[in-house]
Amino acid sequence: MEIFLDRLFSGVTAGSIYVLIALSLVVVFRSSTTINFAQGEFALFTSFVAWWLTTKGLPIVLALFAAMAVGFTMGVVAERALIRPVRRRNETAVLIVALGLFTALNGADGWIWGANDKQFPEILPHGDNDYFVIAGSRLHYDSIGIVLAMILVVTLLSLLFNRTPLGLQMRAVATNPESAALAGVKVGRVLSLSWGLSAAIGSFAGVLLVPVLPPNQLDLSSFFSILIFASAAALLGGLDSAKGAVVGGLAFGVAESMINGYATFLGGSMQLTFALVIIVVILVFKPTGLFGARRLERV
Amino acid sequence: MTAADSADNTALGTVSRPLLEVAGLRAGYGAANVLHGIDLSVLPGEVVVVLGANGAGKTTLMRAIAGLIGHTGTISVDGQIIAKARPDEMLRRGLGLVPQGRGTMTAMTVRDNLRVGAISRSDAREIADDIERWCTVFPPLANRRNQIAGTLSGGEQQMLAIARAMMARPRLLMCDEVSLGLAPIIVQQLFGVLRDVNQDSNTALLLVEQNAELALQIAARVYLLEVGEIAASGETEQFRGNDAIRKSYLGY
Amino acid sequence: MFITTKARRAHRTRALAGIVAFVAFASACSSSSSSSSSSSAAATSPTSAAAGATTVASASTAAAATSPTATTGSTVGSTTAAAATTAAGGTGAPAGEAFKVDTSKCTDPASVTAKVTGSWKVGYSAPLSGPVAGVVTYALDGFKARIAAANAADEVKGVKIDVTYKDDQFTPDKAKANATEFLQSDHVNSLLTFGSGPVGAIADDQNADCVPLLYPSSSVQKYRDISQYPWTVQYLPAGDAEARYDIGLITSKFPSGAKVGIAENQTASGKGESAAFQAAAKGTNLTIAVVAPSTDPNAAATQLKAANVDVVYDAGISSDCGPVVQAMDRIGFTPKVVINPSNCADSTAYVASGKAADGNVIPSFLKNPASAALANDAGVKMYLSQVTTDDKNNAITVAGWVTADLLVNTLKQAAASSGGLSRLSAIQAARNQKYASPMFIDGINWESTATTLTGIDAFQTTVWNAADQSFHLDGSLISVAAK
Repeated sequence: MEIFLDRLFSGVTAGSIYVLIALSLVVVFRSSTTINFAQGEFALFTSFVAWWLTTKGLPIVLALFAAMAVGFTMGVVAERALIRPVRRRNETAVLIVALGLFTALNGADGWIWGANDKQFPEILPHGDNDYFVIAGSRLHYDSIGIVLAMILVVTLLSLLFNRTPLGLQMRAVATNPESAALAGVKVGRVLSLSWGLSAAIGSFAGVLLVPVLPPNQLDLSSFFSILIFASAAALLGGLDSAKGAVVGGLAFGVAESMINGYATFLGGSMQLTFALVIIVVILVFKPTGLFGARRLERV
Repeated sequence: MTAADSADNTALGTVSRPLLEVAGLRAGYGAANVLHGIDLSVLPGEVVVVLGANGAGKTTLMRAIAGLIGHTGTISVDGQIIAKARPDEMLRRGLGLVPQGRGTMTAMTVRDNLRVGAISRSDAREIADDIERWCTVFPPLANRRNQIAGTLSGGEQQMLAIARAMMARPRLLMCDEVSLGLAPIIVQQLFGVLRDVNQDSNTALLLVEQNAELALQIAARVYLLEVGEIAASGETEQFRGNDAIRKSYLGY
Repeated sequence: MFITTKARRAHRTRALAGIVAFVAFASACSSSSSSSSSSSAAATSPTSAAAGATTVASASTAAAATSPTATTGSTVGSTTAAAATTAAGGTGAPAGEAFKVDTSKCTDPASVTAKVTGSWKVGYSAPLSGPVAGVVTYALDGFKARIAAANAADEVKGVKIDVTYKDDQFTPDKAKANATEFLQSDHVNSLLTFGSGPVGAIADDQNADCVPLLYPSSSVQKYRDISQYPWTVQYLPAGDAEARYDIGLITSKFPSGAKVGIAENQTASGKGESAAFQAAAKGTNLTIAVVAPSTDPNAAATQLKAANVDVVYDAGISSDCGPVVQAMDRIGFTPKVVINPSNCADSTAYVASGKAADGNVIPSFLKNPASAALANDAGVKMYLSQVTTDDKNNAITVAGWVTADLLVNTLKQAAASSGGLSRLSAIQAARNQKYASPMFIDGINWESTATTLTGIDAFQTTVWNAADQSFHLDGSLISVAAK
C-alpha cells in the first residue's frame, strides 16, 4: 500500500505537469491546428529569465509574472514574425520553423546564460517536512501545489474558451478560420494571442516545475522530455480538447509511474519509447484522441 | 449598353450613390488571373444577380469583394475606395458574405455559430434578440440551438450560414450559390427568406447563382459573367426580353 | 451519411506526423551526445558551487574528478614542500620491460623515430563552439596555463610545445576532419581531443599514422586495448577500476554482507558502470537485490524502497546523479550508504538535492585548489601560480591542467631518453610511467606499464556534507591498480 501510494502520488504529480504543458499545446492547436514544438523551449527560456531576475534580487513571485509576460510577448512575436509568413505555404514549413525555433532558443539559452545548471528558487513549499503522511506514504505540499495550479489553469482556460468573446473567437478560428474572418474576427490577432497565451501558460508551468522536477535545477534539457510526454498526453486526450489534455496527462503520468514501478519485466523505462508508441497508435487508430471533436460533416 | 445605362438612371435617379462599386477588378489565385477587369455596382437596397457558368469566375469575384483574396482595380464602398480589402474591414463597412460551401463552424454549436456572426457587434441584448429572430425565421435552427453545427443537414447549414451572415446586420449581403446541392423546396424557402431580408430591412443583395430562374424572380438587375469578363448587364426585364441570352441562360 | 471530413483528417495526420519527425530529430540530437558520454567523468570542486560550478551533464564530456574540501578531521593534511617537489618532479622510472611498438606498418615509419627539435606540435580538436564550449573553456584555461609554464621554464629542454586548436563542436565528424588536417597538412607530433565521441573518430587514423593521442578526457574500453590501439592513451580511469573501488568500500563497511540496489542510467555509460559494478561484486558476499532503470527516478526510488536495500549504487552520468537521491528522499527512503560514480562530482547537483544528498559517497582523485587545508600544499601553490583565470578553482580547470601536466611529463621523459624526443619515445614514455601529478591527491599516481594501462591508480573516498555544502575526505586511499 505504501509503495502503491508512493507511485500514485508521483504519477499524479508528473501527470499534472504533463497536463500543464499539454494545455499550452492545446491552446495553440485549437486555434491554428499547429503543434508548437518550440513550446518547451519557450518555457525553458522564460524560466531562465525568471532565474536571472531572481539573481538580481527580484522575488520569485514577481519573476514568475515577468516570465509570463516575456513568454506572452515571445509567443506573439514568434507567431507574427516567424510562423504566419510561412503558414500560407504549407505545414511542413511551419514544422521546420518550429524546429528551428526549438534549436535556436535552446542555443540562445546556453549562449546568454551558460551551459551550467542553475539553482532555481522554489515558489512552492519544498522543505524537508512539507508533507502529509497517508498510510505511511508522503504526500508533499509541492505536489498538491502543482495539482492545484493545474486545476487553476484548466478552470481559467475553460472560462476563457466558453465565457468570453475572445474564447469564442479562438474557437471560431480553430474550427473555420475563413468563416471567422468573414464574421469580422481578426484571425491574425487571435492566432498571435493564442501563441502568446500558450507561451504564458508554459512560462507559468516552467517556473513552478523547475525546482520540483529532478534534478531540481534549471538546465538546457529541462523541458525536452516533458514536451514529448505532454505531446503524447495531449494527443491521447485529443489535441483540441482541454478536458482531453487533463485526462490524457493524468492518465499518462499515473500509467508511467505504475508501469515503471510494477512492470519491471518491461525493462522499467517506458519514457520516450512508450510515448512514441502512444503517438503512433493514436495516429493510426484514433487521430482525434479520446476527447477531440469528431468534426462530423455531411457531404 | 446605352439602353441599360439610361434605364439605371431613370430607375434610381442620380442622387443615389452605389453602395458597392467595382471597377477594372482583376483577381485570381497565384499568378493566374481569373477575373480580367470587372465593372459592377450595387445600389443601396438593390438586388443584383451575377449569372455565369461554372468556372466563369463568380466565386472569385465574391471572394475578392469580401477581402478574402487580393485584387487590382478598385473596390469602393459608399464612394470610398478600399485600398486593402480585408474581411473584417469589408464587414465593418457593411458587406457580409455567405460563402460557397456554407462555411459552417462544424465543431461549434448552432448558437455559437450565430454568436460568432455577431462578433463585430457589442450590444449583447440585441444580439440575443437577433439569435431568437433568426431561429424564428429558420425554425429548424430553433430546436437545434445547442447542437453541434456539423451535424446539421445541408439545408439547415445553409440556413445557418445566411443567419450567421445576417447577425452582423450587413447593408449588403453577398451569397455565393446558396442553392448548390439543395432540394428545390429548400431553395424556394431560402429565396423567400432572402426576399424578406431585402424588403424588411432594405438589405441589398448580391447573388451569384447558377439557378438563374429563381434568382431572376427577386433580382432587379443582372450581370452575365463569362470567362472572367462581364459579357452583358442590364435590368432583369430587359434580360428576359433578350432571346439569345434567355435561351443560353434559361434554356427556353 | 456522416463522415469525418477528409481534409481535416489529412491535416491532423500531417500534424501528428510532425510529432514523429520531431521526436526523431530530437532523439538524433540527444543520442549523439549520450553515445559519446560513455566515458564522461565530470568533476567539480565543492566550493565552486557558489562560484557557479559547471556540470558536464548536458555536455557529457569528459573532464574529471573531484577535489574534496579538506576540512577538520579529514585525513589529508598539507603536504610538505619537499614531498610535493619530489612528486612533481618524479617521472617514475618505467618498471619492467619497455613498451615496444611495431613501426614498420606506420604510414611514414621514418618520421616516427625522427628526432623532434625546436617545437613539438600538438593538434587539439576541441569543442570551441556549440553547447559544450563553456565547459571546454575551463579545461582549456587549465591546459594552456600548464603548457605556457612548461615553455617558459624550458621544461622539455630546448623544445617548445606548440598547440594548434581546431573547433569540432563536439561532433565526431568534425573531429575526424580536424584530425585529418592535423595529420596530413600540419604534420603534428601528437594529438589531443575532448570526449569519447571524438576519440572514437580519431583513433583509427591516428594509430595508422603512428601519431600519439595523448591524454584525451575519455575512457572508452575499446581504445584501452594496447595491442589494437598502441598510440592511444586516455586520461580518465577505467570503469572496472572504479567498480573495484566501490566494491572495496562497501565490503569494508559491511564485512558480513549487504543488500545492494543499483539505479541504472539507461545510456551506454550508465549500463557500463552498472555492468562493471556487478562484475566486481561477483564472488563477494554482496547481494544485488534490484537493478532499477533510473530513467524515471521516482519509479527507481520506489523499486529500491520496495527491495529495502542497504546500499544504493547510482550508476549515473552527471545529469541524473541528483534525481535518484532526491526521489528516494521524497518517498522517505534512506539507505545506509549511497555511492555515486566519480562523474557525479558536480556539487551543484548535491546542493540542489539538499538534505537528501547528505552522506553520499563519491570517489575522487584531484586536489581542490580552494581548499583551506591545502593552502600550503606545494602542488596547489604551483597550480595557482600558473592558473590565474577566474575559473581556477573549478575542477574541470584542474582536470585540464592535469592533462597538460601529464603531457609535459611524458615529453620530458621522452626527451631524456637515449634516442631523444620523437613520436616513438613519446609513446614509450607514456606507456612506461608512474607519475604523481602535483594536483593528484597525495598518494595517487597515473600509472602505465608496457602491458597494462591503469591510469589513476587509487581513489580517495569523499563524502558530501549537506550542512556545509562541501565534500569531506573520508578514510584512506583505496587502490584500484590491476591485480
